[in-house]
Amino acid sequence: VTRLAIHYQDLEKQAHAVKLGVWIFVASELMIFAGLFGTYAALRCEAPREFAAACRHSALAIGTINTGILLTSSLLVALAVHSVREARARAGALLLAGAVLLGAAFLALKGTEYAAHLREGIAPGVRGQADALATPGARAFFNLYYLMTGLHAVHVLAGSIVLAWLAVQTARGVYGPAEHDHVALELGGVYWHFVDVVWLFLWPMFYLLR
Amino acid sequence: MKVTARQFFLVWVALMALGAASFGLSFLQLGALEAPLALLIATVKAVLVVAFFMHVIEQGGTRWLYLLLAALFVVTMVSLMALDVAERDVPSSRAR
Repeated sequence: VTRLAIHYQDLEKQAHAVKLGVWIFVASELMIFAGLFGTYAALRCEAPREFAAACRHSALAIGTINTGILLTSSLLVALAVHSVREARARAGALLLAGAVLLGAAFLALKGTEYAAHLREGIAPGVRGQADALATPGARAFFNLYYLMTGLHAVHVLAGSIVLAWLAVQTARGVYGPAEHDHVALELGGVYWHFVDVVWLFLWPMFYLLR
Repeated sequence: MKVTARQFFLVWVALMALGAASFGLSFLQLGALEAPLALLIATVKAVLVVAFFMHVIEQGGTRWLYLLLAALFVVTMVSLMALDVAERDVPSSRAR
């Protein structure tokens, strides 16, 4: 059911080009986060104790549950691709729907976490008035916290929308088991796993290194 | 190689176990070891996700090469940015 665009010789070459394009996109996404990881590393070296002290104000339980949620959603997406490859599209669609629900749960928990911080007065920029923000290092920590987890949450939202669309397409039987016949599904998965990988680093940076 | 559903599940078990280990270690107050250890565990988890869930282990080939190169660029940039601050002659007044 995959259509061949006019500028490709065959479906295999088309699939190859599309995959390369998405991997380049993921690499460029990596560079956005890499700049922020570098900023975090430099600022943490400048004020290690203040960063650790600020980190103790993070919602460890929520961050940890969210790590489990994203890892599990990644498993569901991998199994969804696996199911489609074995011509079990219905199972694939259900697994993708499960991953979307987990993505929504992640965002809901992140939202309650932001709300709790804001009630405490831990806000980004000049609006933060809490005692927890008394030191320059703590302000840098929470500014980076909002910037990096916020940017990540936008990616989770985008990824969830992509997965929801893929779930519908899979349920409609658009994707076949052949390698070139479910490229969109596989690449939507690659994007979702990338978002998962970024969180694997955000978790220790903003919750564990206290 | 073709990854089976059972193998995907085992990878997930390993990821959760590594997460639990990282969580437990964060309570041990390991001082200077804490950050490198947490980042090492995160890196191992990232490699598992990329290799299995992103199907790189199945499709492999040159993909390993440019993934390695991308990781190397990130590590170089992040560590140089950190070293610039960490190795300044005049210590920051805030490095208490």
